[in-house]
Amino acid sequence: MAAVAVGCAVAMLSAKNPVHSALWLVGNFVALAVIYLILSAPVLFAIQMIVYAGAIMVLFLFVIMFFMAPRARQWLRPPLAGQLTLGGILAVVLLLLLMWGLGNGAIVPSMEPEQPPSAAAQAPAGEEQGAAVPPLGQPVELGKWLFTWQVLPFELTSLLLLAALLGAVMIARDVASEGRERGREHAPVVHDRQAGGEG
Amino acid sequence: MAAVVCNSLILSGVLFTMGVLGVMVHRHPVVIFMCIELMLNAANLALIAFNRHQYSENWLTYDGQVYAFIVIAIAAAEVAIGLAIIVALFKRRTRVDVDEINLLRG
Repeated sequence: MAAVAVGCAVAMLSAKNPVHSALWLVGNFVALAVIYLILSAPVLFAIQMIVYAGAIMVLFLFVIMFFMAPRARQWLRPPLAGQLTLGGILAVVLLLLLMWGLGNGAIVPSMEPEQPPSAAAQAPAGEEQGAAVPPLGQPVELGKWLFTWQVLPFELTSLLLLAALLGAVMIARDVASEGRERGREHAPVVHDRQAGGEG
Repeated sequence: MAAVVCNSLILSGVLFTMGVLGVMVHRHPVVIFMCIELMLNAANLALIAFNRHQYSENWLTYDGQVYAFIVIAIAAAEVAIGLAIIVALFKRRTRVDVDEINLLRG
C-alpha cells in the first residue's frame, strides 16, 4: 500500500495533464485510506473515501473540466531554468531532515515513556491487559471522544466551514454577478435606442 | 515503536516531501493545490500513526483521529476557497500561471 501511495504520488507529480494528476491523486487517496484502515481508523477510512476521493476530487475535476480550455490542460510552460533541480535538491534536504528527526524521535520515545504508560496502565491493569484496553477505532468510541473531549474544536470547525462556504460563494460569485449586471444594463439601453430609432 | 507505525511515519515523511516538491516545481495552481492536499494527507497519516502508537502503549485516546478528522474538514474548506479564487482568476484571464499572478504586489 505504501508503494502504491508513493507510486501514485510520483505519477501525479510527473503527469503533464492536470486531469491525469487528479486521477493519480485519487489513487493516492485510496491507498492512504487503506493504510488508515490498517492503522485501525475505520472512521477516517470512510471519511477519507467520501470527502477526499469523492467531494474534493469532484471539485478539482469540475474546475479543470469546466474552466480550462482543452489545449490549456497541460503544463503551461516548462518550469523555470533550474527550478526542477533546485526544488529537487531542497526536497531531498527536507526528506533527509524529516528522516533524521524521525530517527531521533523513534529512539527517544521508546526510552522515555516506559514509565508513564506502564504507570498509567497499572490502574486498569489490575484485571487484564487485553481486556482493560478496548480495541481501537470503534466508531462509537470515536464519537464519544469527539463529543466529550473535543467539542470545542469540533464546533470551531463547523464555524470555519460555514465561513469558508460563504467566502467561496462570495469570491466565485463576484465577477459573474458583475458581468450579469453589466449585461442587463447594456441590454435595455440597446432596446431603448432601437425603440427610439424606430419611433 | 511498532513496525506499522514506523513505516507509516516514513511514508508520511516521503509523501510530505513529494508534496513540497510539487509545490516548488509545478506552476499550475490546480496542481499546486493537489500537492497541498498531498501534504495534508501526509500530516493526517502521521497523526493517525501516532494515535495508533499511543494505543500500542496502552493509552486509549482518539485525539489523533479527531485531529485528522478536523484537518480533513479544514482541507475541504481550504480547497473550496482556493478553487473559488482559481475560478475567479480563470474568469478574468485565460492563462493562469502562478508566476503571472502578481496583482497583489505593491
